[in-house]
Parts: sequence; structure tokens; C-alpha cells
Amino acid sequence: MQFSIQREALLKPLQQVVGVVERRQTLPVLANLLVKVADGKLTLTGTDLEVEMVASTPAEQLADGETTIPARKLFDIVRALPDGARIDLKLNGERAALNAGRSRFTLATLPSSEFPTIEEIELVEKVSLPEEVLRDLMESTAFAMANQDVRYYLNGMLLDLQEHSLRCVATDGHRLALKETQLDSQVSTRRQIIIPRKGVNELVGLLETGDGQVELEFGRNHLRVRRGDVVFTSKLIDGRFPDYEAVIPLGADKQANVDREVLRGALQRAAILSNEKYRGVKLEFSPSRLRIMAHNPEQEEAVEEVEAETPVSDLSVGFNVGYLLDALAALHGEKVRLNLRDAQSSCLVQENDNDQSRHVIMPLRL
Amino acid sequence: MIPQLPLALRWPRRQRFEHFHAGVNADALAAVQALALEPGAPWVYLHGPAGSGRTHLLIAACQAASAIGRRVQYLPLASLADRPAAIRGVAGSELLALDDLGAIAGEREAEHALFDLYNQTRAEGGALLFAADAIPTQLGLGLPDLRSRLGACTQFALKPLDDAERRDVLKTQAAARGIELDDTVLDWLFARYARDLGALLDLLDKLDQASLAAQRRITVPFLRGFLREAGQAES
Repeated sequence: MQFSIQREALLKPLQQVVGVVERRQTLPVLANLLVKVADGKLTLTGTDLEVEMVASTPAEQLADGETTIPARKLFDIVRALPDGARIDLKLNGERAALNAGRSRFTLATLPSSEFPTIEEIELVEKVSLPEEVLRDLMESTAFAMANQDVRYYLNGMLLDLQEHSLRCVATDGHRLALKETQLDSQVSTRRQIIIPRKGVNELVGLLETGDGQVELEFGRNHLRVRRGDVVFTSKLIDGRFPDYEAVIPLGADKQANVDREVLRGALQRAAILSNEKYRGVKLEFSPSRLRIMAHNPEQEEAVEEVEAETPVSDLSVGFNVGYLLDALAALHGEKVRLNLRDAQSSCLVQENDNDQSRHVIMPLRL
Repeated sequence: MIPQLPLALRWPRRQRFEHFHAGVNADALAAVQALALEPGAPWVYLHGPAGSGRTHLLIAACQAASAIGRRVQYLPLASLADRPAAIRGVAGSELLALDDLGAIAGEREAEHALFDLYNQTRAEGGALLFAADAIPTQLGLGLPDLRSRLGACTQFALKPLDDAERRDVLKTQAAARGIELDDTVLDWLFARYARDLGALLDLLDKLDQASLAAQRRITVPFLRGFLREAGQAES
């Protein structure tokens, strides 16, 4: 196996796959990248057995073959080489020789036959959508995923595919984030899959803004995302996601429309004096006005007032200010609408002119 | 008290035959399955204390019968306001499951409605499945003919599961929600909170919500604090 490549051309695919490699592994070969030259291109693969990332790039002076090379060391060397350096890599027996200008490195390898790859995913459904849209869907919801909850199915993101739409949903049991998009194609059977937290984070890191298309392949136990140069594959969480539609409030008939940035600023300031543990703020609605109050155990107090288009009066509800700020950051419109019922019921936050992005937040008892 | 309220992420209790832990009640399970699936099978009358699985078997029977295309109705008599009207309204189904039969004892109009329903269903070739907390002669029914009709059904006394079996059920139900109840927690719970299975599963529902609100595992200290707050801790 042999190839020659410009430093920058190698750095990009390396960055894409190296993030998947865990710092501590159960198998030595998982610390390595699978490096393969075949079909006129160079292909790099990183895996932690749960998430696999495959990136390919054109290179020169190719000699077919494959091996595995320590991921972190290869990445650190390539990153530290000077801009524009030409890198030649060649497999000599059990060692890989990397030469660039006057630098020479000899790296240990492990046989590629030991490297676990995910080949077949038993495809059940396939959809295509703009990369930018998928990125927005995932970024607008990923923050609400649980972290190390015993309910393993909450430590991930639900992809809910039905008819003409794809929804991303995440919840930690206190709040829920949902964003949906319309698809060009129609699917015959509803598919619900849960991608583990790490897979979500890697995928969000990989997706770029731009109008290219990505292919989403729903497998029996895997999700695969294809984008020209990169193939991402994640195992799925084997479990049933709760019936999330049942927690989106329908009876929340008290509405208030508020300028998103103004509300965000007021909440950020009030948050400074909120209780550190539960981060509670109180929202008091009265006609045309929303008052936000926070205080902490030191008896310090913050009061903010913002204009609100609302007929609601005498309603006072407590929330974790962090949950409200997360939701406001994930929305895009100029105005947001808060839909409430009472101090014990969930609040639905969305843009005031569409419900593509919805955030359900449970109150705090104050 | 945890001030954060949790989302109502609920798992409907799945009362299916395959989730019924039969234990010593295997004969009753077999008879109810036959009634649900085989036309002409003998009608069944289940009696037993709370938590012995009466409602579970009735709902499972309806679900299984419905799955093979039979028209079914489940009537929880204790929670209905106008029982005579409800009983008259269900005639014409292929399988009728009547729960909490004791609720109509002494209600003359409801007893007559049930007597008529019995005869009509017999004539139409439908099937009836009853559940109550006692045998027909001890329910306090005023109508002797109804008592004798009910007495003609195949009767089964459902026995509550023993501690080991209830532990298994609780563990399985917890695992289905993705939460873990280890032996230490179960030992503590069974030593202090002796309840029937229905009450234990209700407790599991509430614990699930509480642990979601607190974002904590269910441990003995968590359980102790929860029961103390709920005012249900037993000395």
C-alpha cells in the first residue's frame, strides 16, 4: 500500500474520522484508522463499534493495499507538518513509513483483517434531503437529549419518518425539542429510530451548511448517512421512544407573542440572579406585558419587563431559565409564541408563524 | 421536594396475554384464552382479590379477540356512572368483558339489564367474560336468576402472585421502561410496602415520573424519600 498526497487534502478526511476514535479502547485495533488504497482513491475509516466514519479522497502514486495505523498519532503528525507539505506514506512489512520533506516517521501497524467494519445495514428505507436542512434539524434539537439517564432510549435522538416528513425529537424528561421538515419523497411505512448521543454529536460535527444533498439510509439496526466524500454509520438504540406527541400540549390556550431577542436578553440578565441549582425564573403575564423575576438564596433579585402581545392576565409560572434560553436559541423567527395553560402544565414555545420547530418545557414549582 | 415537574412521558400498561405472569393461575389463563379465541368456548367467571390479575386478563382477552377480527367490548362497571344504560348499550358484541361485577350488586335496574344481556348474548352466540371480587352467591346480587346464570359459568379463583413472582413482574415492567430496580431496592420495598401488584405497578408509575423529575436512579434513599413525601411510608 502506498500513496502521496498534499497535507491539506489529507487533513480534512483525517479530522472527519479521528473524532470517532475513543481515547480508551476495548480492543487495540480500535485506536487505529483503517487506511486503504483501492479503486483509485484513498479511504480512511474510524470506528468505536457504535459509530463508524469513512472518508475518502483522491491521492497520487497509488499502490493498492490496506493496513491500520494509530489514529491519534497519524493525525497529530499530519496536523503538525508545515502547510503545503507533500506526504508520502508506504507500508513496509509491519511498519508504515511516512515521509514529508525532511521529516521521517515510522509507525506501528495492525493487520486490517482485525479491523471491524460495518458492511451491510439491511436497508429498510432511504430518503434524501439537503445537508443544511438535516444539520438544522439536528442542531435545533440535540441539546435536549438526556445525558447518562438510566432510560437509555432518552440518551439519543429520535428520527421519526412518516409520509412526507422527517422529525428529529429529543427529550431529557424535563423538556422536549422537536423540529420537522417536509421531504420531496413519500415513505410508505412510518419508521422511528433512535440514534445514540455520540452518533448525533459526530453527525452534527460532520454536517456543513451548503445546498448539497445527503442520503439517509434507515437500516434494521443502523442509520447510514452518505455525503459524497463521507459515509457515516451509527448503530441504533434498541428501545421504544416514549409517545412524544402525547406531551405536546393541546389545551394550552393562553398565548403570548414576544420578540425573541428581547426576551432572550431579559432572560439572560435575570438568569444571573437565579438559584444556581434549579435556575428558576418566574414569568408573570398581564395584558401586553411579561414580567420576569429571579432571586437567589442571598436575597438578591432581578426584575425584567418585556412587551408581549397577550390578553393573558394573572398567570404566573416558574421555569428553569436554561430550558427557555435553549429553546429560544434553537428558534429562528423574529417573534416567538408561548402557549400556556397554568402553573402546573407544560409550556409550548414556537415561532409565532409556524410550528416546524416546537419546544415543550415543564414548569418549576416556585 | 424536587421543584422541577417532569414531562408526562407515559407507557401505557400493556395488559396482554404474553405479559400475564400466570403462576398458579395457569388454568384460568387457558380458559380465558380459549374464550377469547375459540367460538363456543365456555363462559368464564373470574374472582379474586385486588391485584390478582382480573382486569389484566379481561383486557388481554379483548385485545386478542379483536386481533382476530371479533367485535369486543370491555366494561369497567365500577367506574361507569349510568350502569344500566352502559350494559344495555353493549349488546351485539362477540366478546363482552364485564369487570368489577360487584358494583351492580343491589342496583335493581342494572341487575335486570345484565340478566337480559346474558340471555341475549347466549341467544346470539356471543361470549361473556366476568370478573368480580367474590363468587356469584357472595356478591350481594338481588336477582336470584342472575345469580344462577352467573353460577353456570366456569369459575376460577385467581390467586395473587407470591412475593417472588411480584418481584419478577415489577422488575420486568421496570426494565421495559428502561429503569432498573435492583435487589436491594426490591428487598427494601417488599419489607416495608406490602401491597398488591396493581398498587405496586401504580407506585412504579409514580417512581418513574419522580426519577425523571430528579434525573436520578431509583435507589433505596431515593425510594425512602419518595415514600416519605408521598405520606405512604409504613413504619
